[in-house]
Amino acid sequence: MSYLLFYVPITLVVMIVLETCKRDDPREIAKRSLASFGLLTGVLALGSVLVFLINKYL
Amino acid sequence: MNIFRTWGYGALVGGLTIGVALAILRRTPGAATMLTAIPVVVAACVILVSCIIGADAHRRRQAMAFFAGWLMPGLGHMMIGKVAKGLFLFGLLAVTYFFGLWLSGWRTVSFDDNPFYHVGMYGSGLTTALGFLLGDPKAFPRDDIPKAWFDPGLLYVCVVGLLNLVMMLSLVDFRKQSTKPVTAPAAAEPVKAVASAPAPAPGEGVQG
Repeated sequence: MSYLLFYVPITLVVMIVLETCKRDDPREIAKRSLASFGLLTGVLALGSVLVFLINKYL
Repeated sequence: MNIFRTWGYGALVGGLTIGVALAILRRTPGAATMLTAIPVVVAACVILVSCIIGADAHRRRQAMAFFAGWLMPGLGHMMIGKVAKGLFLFGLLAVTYFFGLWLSGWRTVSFDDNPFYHVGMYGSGLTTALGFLLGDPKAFPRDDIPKAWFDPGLLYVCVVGLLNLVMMLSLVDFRKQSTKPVTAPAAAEPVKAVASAPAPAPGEGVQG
């Protein structure tokens, strides 16, 4: 198993703690945490693809 | 008391800056720890005393919650009445912390492992105490798991302390929210008064 998979639990923990400090509703906390996690992962994935393409073709 | 609080904040920031600067330079780990720990402890005591002496009962409770939150993650939230949230946050951070300890062979982050991760451990009194109890000059990767997992383990241990700082800051934010005066909706009255006022005669509002 790649150590990169450790990114998932630690990022989820960070997002849950941040949202729990801001809100009281558990459903809202879960929803916002997953949304933030998805957004961050998407941005990182897009950035990785961009860096890969730049390194390969430029 | 505000002057003491200001000096306390100054010493807190100064101590952390000196500690991080020495950590970057990687010189004299013992001196870096002492130069960080002494101003931080002194500043924390000054801020705590100034908050307790010069404030009303509600603010005193919030100040105590802030420092209790440093001692044990989630304890501050429990003190302000959010028991379930405090227990949830404590459980979440405890699982993360012990998972990190398991990955790193039940040893906390020493200065030689990673100076930045080491400073992050001071974000909570509990992790600081465990760091002194379990700390070794140098942690070693476990043999039964891949060696690449060692660094994420140190990161998990460090992140718990940093997240506790965020939780403490949320207690300060809660204090500001809870002390905000409750205002009655008074917007309807002026509108009604304006609506019921007699219409001005033509040319009455023109000056000159």
